[in-house]
Order: sequence, then C-alpha cells, then structure tokens
Amino acid sequence: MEHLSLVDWSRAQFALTALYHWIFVPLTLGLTFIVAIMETIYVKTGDEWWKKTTKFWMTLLAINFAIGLATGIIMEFEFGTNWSNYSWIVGDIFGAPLAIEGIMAFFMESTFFAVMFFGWDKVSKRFHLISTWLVAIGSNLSALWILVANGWMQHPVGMHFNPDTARNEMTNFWDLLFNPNAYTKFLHTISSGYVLASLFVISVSAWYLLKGREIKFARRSIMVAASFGLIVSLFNLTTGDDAARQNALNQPVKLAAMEGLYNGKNGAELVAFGILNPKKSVDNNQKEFLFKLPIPYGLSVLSYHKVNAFVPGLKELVYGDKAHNIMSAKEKIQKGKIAVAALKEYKEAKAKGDKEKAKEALAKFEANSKYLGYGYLKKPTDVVPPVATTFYAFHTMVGLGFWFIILFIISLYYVMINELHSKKWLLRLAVLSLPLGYIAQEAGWITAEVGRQPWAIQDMLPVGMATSNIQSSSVMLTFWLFAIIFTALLIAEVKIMTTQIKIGPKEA
Amino acid sequence: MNTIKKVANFYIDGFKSMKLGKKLWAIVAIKIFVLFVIIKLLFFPNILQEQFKSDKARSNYILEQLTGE
Repeated sequence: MEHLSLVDWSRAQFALTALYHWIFVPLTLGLTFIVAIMETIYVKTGDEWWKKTTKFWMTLLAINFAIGLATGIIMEFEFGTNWSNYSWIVGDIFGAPLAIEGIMAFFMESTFFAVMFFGWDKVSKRFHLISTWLVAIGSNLSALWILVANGWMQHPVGMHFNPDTARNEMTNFWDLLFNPNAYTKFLHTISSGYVLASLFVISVSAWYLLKGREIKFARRSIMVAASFGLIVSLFNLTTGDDAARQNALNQPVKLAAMEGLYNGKNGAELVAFGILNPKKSVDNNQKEFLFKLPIPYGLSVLSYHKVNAFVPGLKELVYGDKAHNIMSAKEKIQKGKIAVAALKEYKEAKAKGDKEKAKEALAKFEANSKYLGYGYLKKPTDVVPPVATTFYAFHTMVGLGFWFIILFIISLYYVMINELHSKKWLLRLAVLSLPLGYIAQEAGWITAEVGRQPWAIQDMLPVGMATSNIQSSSVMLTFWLFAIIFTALLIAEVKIMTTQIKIGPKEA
Repeated sequence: MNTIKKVANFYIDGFKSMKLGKKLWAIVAIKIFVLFVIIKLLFFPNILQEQFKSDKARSNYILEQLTGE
C-alpha cells in the first residue's frame, strides 16, 4: 500500500476519464432508441414531419457520437500504464468481453451507422429503419461487454486464480456473462441512459416552446420522449432495486455506506433524505445523522424483500457479528495474510523443485484465496469506503430519479391535453432538468465505484496493489493533459450542439 | 465487383454530401491523432510489455509484487 500519492493520482485520473467519458455515452445509448422510435412512426404513418423530426435528433446524436468517440479508449491506455498489476491479474477475464465489444462496435459503426446517416433516400425506408434499430441495439450491446467486465470486478465469478502465472483464468464464460451483478448493472446503466436521452429531448423541445418556435415539432418530440422516459424510468426503478439487492448479497459494505448505516438492525429503515454527522466513524459512538427522513423497514424490504430482515451496518461488517454469521474484517485480513504467505511458499517451493512442499502450500493458498485481497490491508477499517461521498452520491441519484419520473408524468399530461406550451414554469423546469440528468448519471457511477473502495477487484485486489510502480509525476502530468483535452471536447460538444439546436429542425 | 463499387460510391457520396459531418469528422480525426499518436506513444507505454521480455518474467514480477518480495 505504498506510493499513496501515486495511487491517488491514478485513481483521480481514472475517475476523470470515466466521468468525462460518461458524459457522452448515456446520451448515445438512449437517443439511438428515441430516434429509432421516431423513424418507426415515420415509416408507419408516412408523415414527412416525423422524418424531419427523426433527422433533427439524428443530427444531434451524430454530434454526441462523434465528440464522444474513442474517449473510452483512454481507460485502456491507463490500464497498461498506471494499472499494470491489475491488467495482468485480470487480463484473461477482460480479454474476451472487450474483444467482443471492439469487434461489435467496429462492424456496427462502419456499416449500420453509415446507412443511418448516409442512407436516407438511397436505401429503402424499411432497410433504413432496420439499420437505425440495429444501431440502437448494437450500441447498447456494446455497453453490455464493458459492464460485464465492470460487474466482474464488483463480483468476481467464473474464474480461477492461477498461482503460477498470477492471472485469473476464465473457467466459465456463461458465469461471467450471467453474473447477476453484471446484468443488473447493464440494465440499470442503459435504462439510465434512456432516461437522460428522454430528458435531453424534452429539455431541447421545451426551449423551443419557451421561444415560441417549432411548436409542432417540439410537442411531438416531447410526446415521444416523455412516454419513453416514463416507461424506462419505471424500469430503471426496478433495476435499481435489483442493484441494491445485489449489493446486499455481494457488497454489503457498499450498501451500508450508501445508507450511512453504521449499526445493523432488523427492520432497517431507508433514509429518504439525510445529513450525515461528519464526526461519525466506525470507531466512535456518535449519532449517525444530524438530520434524517426515514422510511421504516425500507432498507430491509429493498435488500432482502423481508420487512424484518437484518441488514448489517459498517460496525458488524468491520468487527464481525457471530449472531448473524458475519466474519470480522480482522479475521479476513488474517486469512488473507495466510493466502499471501502460502502463495510465497508455493512460489519458493516450485523454484526449488520441492513438489511436496509446493502441494502443501498450494492447498493452504486455495483454502484462503477467497480472502487474498484482505492480506494487503493494514487494519480492519480499511474495508470501509468514503461513506459521505457514497451516501450523498447515492441519494442524489435516487432523488433526481424520482424527480424525473414526476417531470415525465406532468409533461406527458400537459402535452396530451395540448397545454404544455402555456406552462412556462414547467418548460423552465424541463430545461433546467437536463444538467440534473447528467448529475444523476455521474452520481450513479460515483456510488458504484467509490462505494466499492478499497477494492479494484472485490475482496481480491485492493486498489493500492493494482497500480504500477511508476512516477506519480507522470500520472499527474497526464491527468492535467486529459483534463484539458476532455474540457475542450466538452466545449466543442456544447458549442456545436447549441448551434445546431438554434438552427432547428428545418435544416436537419 | 459491381456491388463493391456501389458500396464505395455509397460511402463517397455520403461523405461528399455532408455539411455538419465534415466538421465532426475533422474533430474525430484530430482526436484520434492526438489520442493514439501523441498521448499513447509518448505517455502511455505498456509497462509490463516494455520492462519484461516474456510472460514468465511478467508473471514472476507480479508474483513478487503480490508476495511482497
């Protein structure tokens, strides 16, 4: 766990890259579907208005796609340079999903994307529509493979650690693909992208209505986006529930941090809104919250679907709780240290050609390898992630998610009774909700990634052991380099996008 | 052959008729150049590939890291 500043800079750089990358991706994921729905209406009705509407949103999709393209590749650069230990250890697991993602993205982008943008009036309506749907499905499937890889880091399954090569080897591809953490994360992530895209369409359309222009276009767009947004938001709620349940089963420390739960209890409440006590830690008896609005039994129901289920708090997870069969972090650290020592003994015995001792050491390692990562932690409280960041990020995401549902319902109601254009307050709220959509997106990833600290791979590899032994100054330099490049790209995105929005659908 | 020509023309015509697209392609081209040529080559070497010649040497190095040698 040395090189703390190196670890911090490597973390910061990865976080910066991921957060910027995630500004572009969710809009593409969702807007492809909205465009496909609009084009379907055009093909079904033959109404040229819908073609114009589709083409306008497709233009904005193209801007977002082009500016966001390849921003994720930087994370792969970082794996090889800043996270070489991690890359080596996970290499065999990540290889398959990332290769599938690359091939899929290449073929989709070079064929169906081209038909979608260049093919108007050159291919049949039906073929064009199929291409648009394939772009939507393909780009979402592309996200699947990345999220399978991420899901594996949060809940590693379908592999075996080879002590001779120090690599994890895939033993079952299907376990990897159908890892409950992976598909839950996939569904929750892509549906959140659909919510953002719906907000985007509503927000831009609301701006037109506020300006008193493109009325018919804006109303139709809001009709589609609010309907789509409402359906996917409700779906997003269910996938969020599944994600919380997965945390309860596989990452209980993260769940406890998300809820600021220090002392476990039966019939645990859910905190709808709360202000954490900044003086509270696992080691003291200060109260957890300065203020909170609890929903009785909510956390037990969400986590285990039982009113009186016991939800462990950070104290039980750190210090153990025999009554609920929870092993303490201290015991896990001891087992982890046994695993590390056994790995060393195995390596030395192999080098000396002592087969008997190697066999004995290997058996000891295998018996404790589940706790390998704990062997690198210094103290039990190291298993606790930054509670405040995790708690506030989670509650921001959830709170905004509920606001978006309300916005979709109200917008849909007023657009259906043809009164939306006169509700200036709602239109202003709709415009303001777009940045909130991006905040919710980023808050979701902060919850997922900060909440799983200190792990790069859950229980197996702490972040401090995952980094390369390089100069922190080089990571610092590239951090600022990326900050400048990404900010420039973001400015370009906003500038080109707003110019195109001001031009409006007539020129699309 | 005719099909290949048709596909090629489809792409060529598509690129030619672009308005906003030309600006976007320029951004994509500059970005790819900066990311892959400048940043990747200058700042992001694959550490294990550069420092070790074989997978065995890389494995040994990582095992040393994991076992605290």
